[in-house]
Amino acid sequence: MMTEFPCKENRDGVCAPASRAEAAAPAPSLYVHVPFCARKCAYCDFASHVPVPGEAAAWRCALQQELELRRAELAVPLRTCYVGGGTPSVLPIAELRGLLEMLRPLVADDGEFSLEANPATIDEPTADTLAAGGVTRVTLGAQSFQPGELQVLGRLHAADDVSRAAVLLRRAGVANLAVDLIYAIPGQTPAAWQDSLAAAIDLQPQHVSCYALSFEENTPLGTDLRSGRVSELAEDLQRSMYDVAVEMLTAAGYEHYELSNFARPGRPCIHNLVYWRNAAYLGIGPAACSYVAGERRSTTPDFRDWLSALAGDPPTRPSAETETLDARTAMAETLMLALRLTAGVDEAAFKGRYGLSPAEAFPESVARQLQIGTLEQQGGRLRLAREAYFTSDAVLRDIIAETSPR
Amino acid sequence: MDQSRIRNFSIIAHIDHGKSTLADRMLLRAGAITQREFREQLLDDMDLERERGITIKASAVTIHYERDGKTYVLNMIDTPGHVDFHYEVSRSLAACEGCLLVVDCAQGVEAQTVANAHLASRSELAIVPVVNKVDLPAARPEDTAMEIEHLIAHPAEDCLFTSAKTGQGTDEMLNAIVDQLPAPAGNPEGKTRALIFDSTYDDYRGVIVFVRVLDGRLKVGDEVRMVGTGETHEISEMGKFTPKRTLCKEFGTGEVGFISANIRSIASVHVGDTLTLDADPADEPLPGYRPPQQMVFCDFFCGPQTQFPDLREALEKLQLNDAALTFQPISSDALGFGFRCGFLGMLHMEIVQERLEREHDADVVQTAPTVGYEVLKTDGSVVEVDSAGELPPTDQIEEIREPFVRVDLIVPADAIGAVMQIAEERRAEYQKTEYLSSDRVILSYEFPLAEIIYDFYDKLKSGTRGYGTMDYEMIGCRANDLVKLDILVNENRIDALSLICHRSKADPRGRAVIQKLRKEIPRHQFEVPLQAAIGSRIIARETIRAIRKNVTAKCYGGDVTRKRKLLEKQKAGKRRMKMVGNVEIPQKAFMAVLEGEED
Ligand SMILES: Nc1nc2c(ncn2[C@@H]2O[C@H](COP(=O)(O)OP(=O)(O)OP(=O)(O)O)[C@@H](O)[C@H]2O)c(=O)[nH]1
Ligand code: SF4
Ligand SMILES: [Mg+2]
Repeated sequence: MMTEFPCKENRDGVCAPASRAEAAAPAPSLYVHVPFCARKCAYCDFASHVPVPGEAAAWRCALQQELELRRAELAVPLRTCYVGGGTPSVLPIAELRGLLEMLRPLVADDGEFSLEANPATIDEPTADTLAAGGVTRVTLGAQSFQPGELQVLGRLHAADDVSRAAVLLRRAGVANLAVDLIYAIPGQTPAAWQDSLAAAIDLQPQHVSCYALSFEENTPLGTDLRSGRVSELAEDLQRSMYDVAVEMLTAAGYEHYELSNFARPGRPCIHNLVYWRNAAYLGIGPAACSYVAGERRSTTPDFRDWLSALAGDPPTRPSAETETLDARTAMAETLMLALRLTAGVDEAAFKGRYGLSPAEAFPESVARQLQIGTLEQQGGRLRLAREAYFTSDAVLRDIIAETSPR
Repeated sequence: MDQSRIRNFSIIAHIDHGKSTLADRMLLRAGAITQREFREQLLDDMDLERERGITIKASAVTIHYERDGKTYVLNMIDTPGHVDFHYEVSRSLAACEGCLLVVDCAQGVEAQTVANAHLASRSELAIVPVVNKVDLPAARPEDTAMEIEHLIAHPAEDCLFTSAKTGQGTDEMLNAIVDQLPAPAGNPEGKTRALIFDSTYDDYRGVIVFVRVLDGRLKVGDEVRMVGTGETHEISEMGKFTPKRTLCKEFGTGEVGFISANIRSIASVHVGDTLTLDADPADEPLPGYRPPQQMVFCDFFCGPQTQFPDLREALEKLQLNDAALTFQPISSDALGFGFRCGFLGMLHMEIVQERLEREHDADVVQTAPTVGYEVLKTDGSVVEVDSAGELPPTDQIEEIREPFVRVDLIVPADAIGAVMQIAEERRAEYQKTEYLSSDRVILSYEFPLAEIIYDFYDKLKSGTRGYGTMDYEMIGCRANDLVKLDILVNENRIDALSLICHRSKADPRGRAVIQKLRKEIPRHQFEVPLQAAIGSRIIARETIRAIRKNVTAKCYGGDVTRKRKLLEKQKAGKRRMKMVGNVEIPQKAFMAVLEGEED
């Protein structure tokens, strides 16, 4: 059951011209933010907290209200629906079931219906609930298979929870599994990283993501870094860890389709492709972001604010920061996102969408990066050179810097 | 206006000794402003002046002061104390018969006190010494009065003692102005001669000219001629700042005020020029002043967000109110088009740069300041070179001459040793020592100007526990064993980074500059080699390693805005930088050239 994204070509960095009208039209993709976790991980700055009893039910009621208030922005049936967080799988079974019952009717029969799960929270009833609720794809936040590293990260689960969860999910009927890994963990050795990669590959997921640990302010790990209790791995070591991940995963048959993402042929995360192609999506739940009709909207991350707006009589839209993008910013964002795809951006499609090719829109920076060799042009596509994957922000920053009016 | 009731005076002092605050006090006391309008340093009306708490431009105000039933007209010019703006003091004094020499008695006589006092005596002005800040716990009024006596041979007991903070001594000061300063001489029946001592630009009225009438009179409607330029204009408006703008119809002999005459170009007005009546011109112009002398030069190039014509316009606008600023267009191989600008000193340069950025929203990349050299070429001609990039080829150079200044350092006697050592390291030639009091001395030196423009003042301060102050004055150029040091970034010779220095210092200097550049130039996606060279000889090299990691590896979900803002934030810090080849050279790197030797 392969999902077709409504763009001409599945690998396009941008939507084909025909989809331009879609940008102003309702979004065929939905993101749902679950703001709860069983415990906060040491590195996490996502909007999530440990729920007090009753909060999950209140959240679901409010979410229902929000969905109704914003229903007009959705194009049903949805091509993708992504339940993330937070940890959706910590919801009490009843709430989880209710959530899925609410969402499932919106999703097309051949749509992608993803949910993020903490391996420790997958037991048989949960797995069955997900499968019965129509979830087609589960992302397991494995992060590492080394007990010591899991501890540094402050993760709740144990190393063998991941394989146990995979078995339960598959047995219940969820065939499309994704595994997330983190590298560059303080104390991590190259050998330990290779072991984790090997363990992930052993599980034969359809999708693997590898993210370098980032030390965010106001997280325990961020504080430890600043105070010198932990230190960041050397850049060269991080880079070689990235290289080894690319090597091992491609050797195991995964396509390196995005800087940090690898998929079996035909199994990329369709929902994330919506982001990378800068197509429209609606986000609901606290801290959720939307991009509908050319407007970016970030809902308040404050759970109480979000809740009280929607629990009001009548319910009102929670506060949000919004930004309507001008053409240049939209072009810059499209490039910023599309260049994360290893196939890069189709220059003709880009021109079809904006009237200018990337090199016409950003003549100085694109020429400069082509000359340095960090960008390359091939077969009508503009993409990052392999050597520049790990320094891609420098390229993107140069392009963004050219967005301001001269 | 009764000429005998006019007093024209300047307030002069070392920086921060309280000139502007004393001016406030006099305005308040004379009722020119109400207690409600009173605010500190009222005359410092430029934003930059208020922020930095210093006076940059002299301002003239007229106070009407009543005493014993008589009204006196006091024309007061508050001057800046900073050494860079010494020129403002000298032209203000030329419009006056007297001055208040203010000394902060917690500090005592300092370098610009001496310089300004000498200027006043050379101009034969009557001096009223004012010992200020007597309210401070560290005040030493008697010692300070003794230092003044020593300096200008004015009996210590005749000094006035004031506190601009409490208002103490304000009456005495106003009385002294009336009683001790002479009324203007000048012949009311003679042919009209007025000195132009300042000018500013107003978008509506054009050039506003500040004049002091020496002989005769000026009135609205007069056709006036500027002797120097020969231009004539009809006076459309005249008046005084009291400190409110107050119009009048006529200035008599000895009066001070502003006129506007629909003059559109500031170039038509030369400060120091004489104004006379076109119908009945005076035969002899007034002596005038020497034009201000630019001490340091640097280049302004357009930052990424600024275009060349906009930068030109911004500089032209600034120049309207800042006659001491000079600029001319230049082009650099590496940096494109820009302007070579001349300044009175480092503070002046900083202020111009800041005003460009603030008032004109121009982001400029600025090269390190340099002094103006003279080169005697093998063909016998002499050229002026105010940037190392402009030096003729080595085989055409007979000798390079660098500007020297006479420097007076006022330091505590127990710091003499430390100061002498600092001076020696900077190629200074000792002249003499003079005792100001038993524990403070004036050390006189001749320095290459290049050695004092950058961090000398900081070194002096730290060598004297903060007590040392200095003043300097140009003496002229002298031949020296100077060489050009080239800097290569990514194999490109960057003319804006090259510098001229003494041969004996070239090697350590080259190493220091390269070290500094290595810290200031960010890492790129490729290795960037740095080299310092004299001619073809490489004297130092370093490599800036390539970045190995710079990627947002984390998934932000749909939070695209946040990711873009992060990238934008990185770019925001890059307003002031220049791309040379594919290398980003930030503003700070251009200043690396100022680095001395390795410590
Ligand atoms: N305690 C005390 N502070 C004073 C007195 N006079 C001035 N000050 C303070 O000294 C500082 C400098 O005063 P200004 O009047 O700006 O000095 P200035 O001589 O005009 O300085 P420049 O124009 O920059 O040369 C300010 O913070 C004043 O408030 C005084 O009599 N007593
Ligand atoms: S489970 Fe995920 S969202 Fe929750 S605290 Fe850990 S990293 Fe953050
Ligand atoms: Mg002042």
